[in-house]
Amino acid sequence: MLDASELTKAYGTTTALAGFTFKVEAGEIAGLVGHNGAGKTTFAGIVAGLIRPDAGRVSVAGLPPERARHLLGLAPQQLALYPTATVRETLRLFGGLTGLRRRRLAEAVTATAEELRLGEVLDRRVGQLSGGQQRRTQAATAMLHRPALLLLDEPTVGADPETRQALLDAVKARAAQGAAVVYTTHYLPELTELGATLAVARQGRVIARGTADELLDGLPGEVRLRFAQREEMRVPTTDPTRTLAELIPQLTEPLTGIDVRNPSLDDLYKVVAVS
Amino acid sequence: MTSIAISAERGIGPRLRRLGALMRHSFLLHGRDPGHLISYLVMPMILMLIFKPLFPPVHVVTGLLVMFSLLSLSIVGTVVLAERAWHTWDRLRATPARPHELVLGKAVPLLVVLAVQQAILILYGSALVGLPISAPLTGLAVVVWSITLVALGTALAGLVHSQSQLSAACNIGALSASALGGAFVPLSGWAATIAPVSPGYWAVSMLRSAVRGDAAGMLGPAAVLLAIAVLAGAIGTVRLGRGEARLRGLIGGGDPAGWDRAR
Repeated sequence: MLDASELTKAYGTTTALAGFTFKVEAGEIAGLVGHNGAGKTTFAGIVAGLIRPDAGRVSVAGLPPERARHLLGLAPQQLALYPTATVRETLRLFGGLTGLRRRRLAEAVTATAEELRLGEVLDRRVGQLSGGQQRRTQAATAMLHRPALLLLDEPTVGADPETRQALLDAVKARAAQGAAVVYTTHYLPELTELGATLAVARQGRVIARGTADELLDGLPGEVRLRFAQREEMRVPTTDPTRTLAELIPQLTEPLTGIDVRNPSLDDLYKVVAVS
Repeated sequence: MTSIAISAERGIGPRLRRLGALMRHSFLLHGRDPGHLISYLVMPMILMLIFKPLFPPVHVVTGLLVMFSLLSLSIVGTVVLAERAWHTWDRLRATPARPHELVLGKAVPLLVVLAVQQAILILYGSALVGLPISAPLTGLAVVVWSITLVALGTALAGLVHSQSQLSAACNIGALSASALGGAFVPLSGWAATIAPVSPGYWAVSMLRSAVRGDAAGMLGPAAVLLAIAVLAGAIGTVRLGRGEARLRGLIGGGDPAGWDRAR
């Protein structure tokens, strides 16, 4: 559905993208993670047809971004809403621009608002909503017309747990219906909950791509041994069973507990994107 | 799978529907925030009554109309600045709406608002100040002047960086342009010499010819105003076509790269 290859983009002397390659299939949720400045937002802008790359190519369902806007649902990182319009008016605007009308539009507004738990605030002005409700309204403008490609740029920044859960549920539902989803975030547990494949970006390139299991394979987890008389011992390991078998016979003090922590996406992020 | 949007809507019908959606929404936003428009209607109405005994009706009505419609540039500019400050302009650019649809969807409602403002002032001037009017020519003049104002306001909003800059530019510009246009008193000396640099001069000339029913006298000023509109419209379109990148740093946005692409 989304096929970006060797994208480059520079702003003066600052390189935003340096050979950014990224593909997402229909029905796939692809988590795009990386430091601020890794190129995620510039990439989102290119896919949305708002930024022209210096080189490389990108297509959505085989079309260039400028001709694929009807396939795209975009929720940018920054809120982009009219504070004096109501939620219903906002959704009617974006639904109307994506080709929905009359009964289909009304049904889509109601259904999407219910899905994102906005039903009770449909006729309230956006400027009067909580931050979480505004985030959900923004996501609703992207999902309303059931686009083939959903581009969600840090959709849960500053969101409360209710908002986060509503968004994650809606994203999973869209992917189950066949939409390709690009989900950029710094909250890695969200990607685990979404069952997303991962792409780690650094300095304008995707430096790791695969499923969570593939990327976590070989990363060290941790064995923690707790004692009554002294501080706990933490031992990084890729093979907890063998590590414990080697450690326990050597211990001279009684143990009060053992924890085994498998490698997480946070570990992956620290190893690949940060260090 | 069947519920995912794949096919594109093509043809004139979808374009008109998108335009309709944009214009409905723009009218709705104007209706939510009518403060400027009301003040730019009420103030000239009061001043018309005060100046009525001092100057001929044509001078009073057309002069105040030009002055307060120039002040209304702030309405146009505020609409454009708000789209940038709210990041909604780039959000709209990411929809299937084409750039000219976006511009028309914002400009036509503004045009209507400005034309209605001027029509109300002319009708008020006719009823209470005694302005004699030639309806068809005056209507045409109002449309031409409204187009010029929308274009000037768009260009201005593309050039300034904040609401306070816009307010300063509108206040100084409106008062200077109307004074140089002869909106307050007849000009003489150096002021009369440089008056043609002001759009207000051509607006006053056009409107005074129009209310007199002088089609030939109206033609030249209308042509100049339309030329100004084309130039200002081009400036505004180029500046806005670059997206929000220029303003983003000024309003504290988080993306140093910005959405910079001109479509």
